[in-house]
Amino acid sequence: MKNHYRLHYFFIFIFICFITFGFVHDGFLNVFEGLIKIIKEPDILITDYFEVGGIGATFVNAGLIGIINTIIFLILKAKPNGAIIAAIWTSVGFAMFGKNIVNIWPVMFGVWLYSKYKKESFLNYALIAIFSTNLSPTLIQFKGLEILHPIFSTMLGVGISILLGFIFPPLAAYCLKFHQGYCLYNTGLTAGFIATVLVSNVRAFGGDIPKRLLWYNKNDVGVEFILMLVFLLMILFSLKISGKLKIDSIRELNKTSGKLVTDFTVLYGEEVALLNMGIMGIFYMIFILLISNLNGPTIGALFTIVGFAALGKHFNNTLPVVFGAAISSYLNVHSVTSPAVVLAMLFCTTLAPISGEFGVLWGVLAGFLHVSMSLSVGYLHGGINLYNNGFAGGLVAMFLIPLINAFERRNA
Amino acid sequence: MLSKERSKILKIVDEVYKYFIEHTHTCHITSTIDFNEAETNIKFKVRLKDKKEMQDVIEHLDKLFSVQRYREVEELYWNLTGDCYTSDETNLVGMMVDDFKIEAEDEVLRLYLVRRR
Repeated sequence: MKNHYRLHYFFIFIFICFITFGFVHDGFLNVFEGLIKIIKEPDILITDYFEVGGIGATFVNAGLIGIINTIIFLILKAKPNGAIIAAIWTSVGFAMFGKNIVNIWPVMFGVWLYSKYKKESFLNYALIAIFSTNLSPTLIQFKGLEILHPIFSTMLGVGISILLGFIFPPLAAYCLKFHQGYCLYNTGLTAGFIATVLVSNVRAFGGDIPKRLLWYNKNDVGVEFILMLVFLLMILFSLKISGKLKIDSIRELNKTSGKLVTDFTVLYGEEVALLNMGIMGIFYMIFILLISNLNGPTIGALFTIVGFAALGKHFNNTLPVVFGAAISSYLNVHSVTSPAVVLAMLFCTTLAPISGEFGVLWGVLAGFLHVSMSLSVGYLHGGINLYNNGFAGGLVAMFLIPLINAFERRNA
Repeated sequence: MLSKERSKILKIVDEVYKYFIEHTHTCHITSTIDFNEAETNIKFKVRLKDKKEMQDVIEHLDKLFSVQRYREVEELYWNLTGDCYTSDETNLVGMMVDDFKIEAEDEVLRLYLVRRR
């Protein structure tokens, strides 16, 4: 008999592998000390947890965040689907550079409070709650206000984080109208707006958000091994579920636009979605090794691609966008290997539905515009919106979609 | 101002209308909405002259609506249904209803959607 929750259990197994890898890599004491550092340090963009707490502690943090998120969905009896898979893996990815086992709770609690205020089940808002943790850095950032007593500034940080979580759901639903589902990281756009309003007010009253760039520059064979193992396990589990690799379904899947909500688990089955996740994971891991190295932020981007490979992303619709981003990266004044550019080249896949729906040329243009946009909008939210590229991608989609409709619209 | 629930019902109806206008050459559609505290019943009566088109529509809708209700997906993405005319969000309607039934007789297709609170 089919176990409807088997993907949840499979993901928990993978996250346990992450935790085990973390302890084996760095040892118990180092992991413990690293986790303390990760929790205490500010988390604004770009804070690479490999630099802050070490590789071991980062993987343990990511594994714990993954287990927490998956268990929340299990408790709520939410069966795995494309959106849930995307939420879980995006969160695990950002647990490599911004989300930790402490700072995710206030924002999620704010979303929970909103569900109680609306007298609705928290199940309805669970997906939003997981995605909303992209505003988690707000918690520690306000702890840094030096003029306040530490206890008071901590309470202020928690209070603001809860408030942001409380206002997140209606804004997340509304922001979809702006880009009509062509920006896959819609919650990044939402959080970008919220954080911009917040930070502009902080600046208006004399405060500011300090800049931060922590970027781990080396490659680690152990990290390459565990990631390759995870993606191969995804492909093997897909094989176990269906008895064969459904390559024909992957071909069909590659013909879809990927626009929200193109749920591959619903359209082709969870085994095909999982196969796509594994294939995309291996491909983009190699891509990262060619242009940069595997560290917290790049693995975060990789896991986000893998998660959304169950909800819209595939080879055909991501490659044109990445190609456009690569052209921009080579032509613009920034270094191709600078952290923000590397991340923009990976996270630009948020705009994959534009190439999927309107063709390669529009996809290339979207990727090209995305890089410049993502390098500029960070100032607006001061780095407290972890999904900076979701914000940038949303703005690019808002700009392009009306133009595409105007020039591509067929006659009645 | 319309409640969120009733806004969702309107968007479902709008999306289904959009589906038939986009996927059929000529059709005549009427619909009725019956709602109370517990559930909403939406019925569409669609006249389609082309038998092949009728068969294609039935198969397509049956596949799209055979999905279970996903309340958590609905809450985040329901605004995509209805007023976005550049693409097809019929699959999202499948995630927003609890039950559906499709009946076909001669040139008339009847689609029943049930959405519980």
